[in-house]
Amino acid sequence: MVVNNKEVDVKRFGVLLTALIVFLTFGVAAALADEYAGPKLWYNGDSAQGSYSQSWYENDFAKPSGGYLTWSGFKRGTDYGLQGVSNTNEVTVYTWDAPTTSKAGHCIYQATNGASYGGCIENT
Amino acid sequence: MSRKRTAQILGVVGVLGAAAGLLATTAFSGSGSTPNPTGIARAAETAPAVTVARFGRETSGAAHVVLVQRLSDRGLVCLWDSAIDGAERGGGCNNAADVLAGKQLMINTASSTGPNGSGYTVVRISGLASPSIAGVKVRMSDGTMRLVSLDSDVPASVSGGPTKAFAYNESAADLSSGVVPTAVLAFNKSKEQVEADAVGLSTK
Repeated sequence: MVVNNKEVDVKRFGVLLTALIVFLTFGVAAALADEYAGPKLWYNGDSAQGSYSQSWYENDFAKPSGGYLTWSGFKRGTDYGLQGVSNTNEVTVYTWDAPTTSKAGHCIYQATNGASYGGCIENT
Repeated sequence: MSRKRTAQILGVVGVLGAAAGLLATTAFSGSGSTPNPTGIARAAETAPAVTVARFGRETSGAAHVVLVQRLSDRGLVCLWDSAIDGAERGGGCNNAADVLAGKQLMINTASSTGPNGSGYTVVRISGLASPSIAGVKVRMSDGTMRLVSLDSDVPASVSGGPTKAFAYNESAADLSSGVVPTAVLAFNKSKEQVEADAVGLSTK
């Protein structure tokens, strides 16, 4: 569309609109969750740490079966919020409701009954 | 802007959107059965939960209770150690079709220090037991035992079958002496030990 030789502006608008949609598609998804480890096969002692953010609220270690002992929690340096271990075989979930604290998800596979497939994710 | 250019832009946006969707759906589906972990705690904030046990005297901070919760849309039953004001929560979930995941006990251990830490100031253990379990004990790092009372039955509508709940809160005396739980033991009606589950705390 050409109005008073303004086609270039419209093209720029189209590019900006595209960039905005791409940002919303990827940026919002990235802001809501950080899949910082896996999915992969975990062995006893394997651990991972996510990125630091004040926005994180929950940290989940999910696996489909087996692997009865998994640890999940948040850390701030050497300081931890509520964290712990469950001997469930689906998912271990821990939250830290500290919106002004920059913290990182941390998860460890502690099961000795074999490897398990799964992953860890921080959520807002 | 020409229709051709518009179509090109929409095409690129569509491809990127599809790629994003594909990434999101495949990220945790490698085995085809891994539960989608996104927002389980958030989902648990709105689903009804049942308080099944209470911890004994706590050393500091808000009181905590043991909750059991069925997340029907995810096919999970979760066992939570939760602050009574809901400010913090931790625990684990099993498939709703087999709440104890083939075991006699389902347990969570919540603590104040990281997995390789020392100097714990808080250690709480929450759990569910199968109806065949008559007693539960906590084995400490110095070899001594702590008897844990089994609380009232958990409603079958939540747990999917008859289960009992329990809650253990390490005493200030034990915490200050540096001993920590190492395992939870389950005993049948004949007082025979039928299961021992590690709790995953550091004993250094």
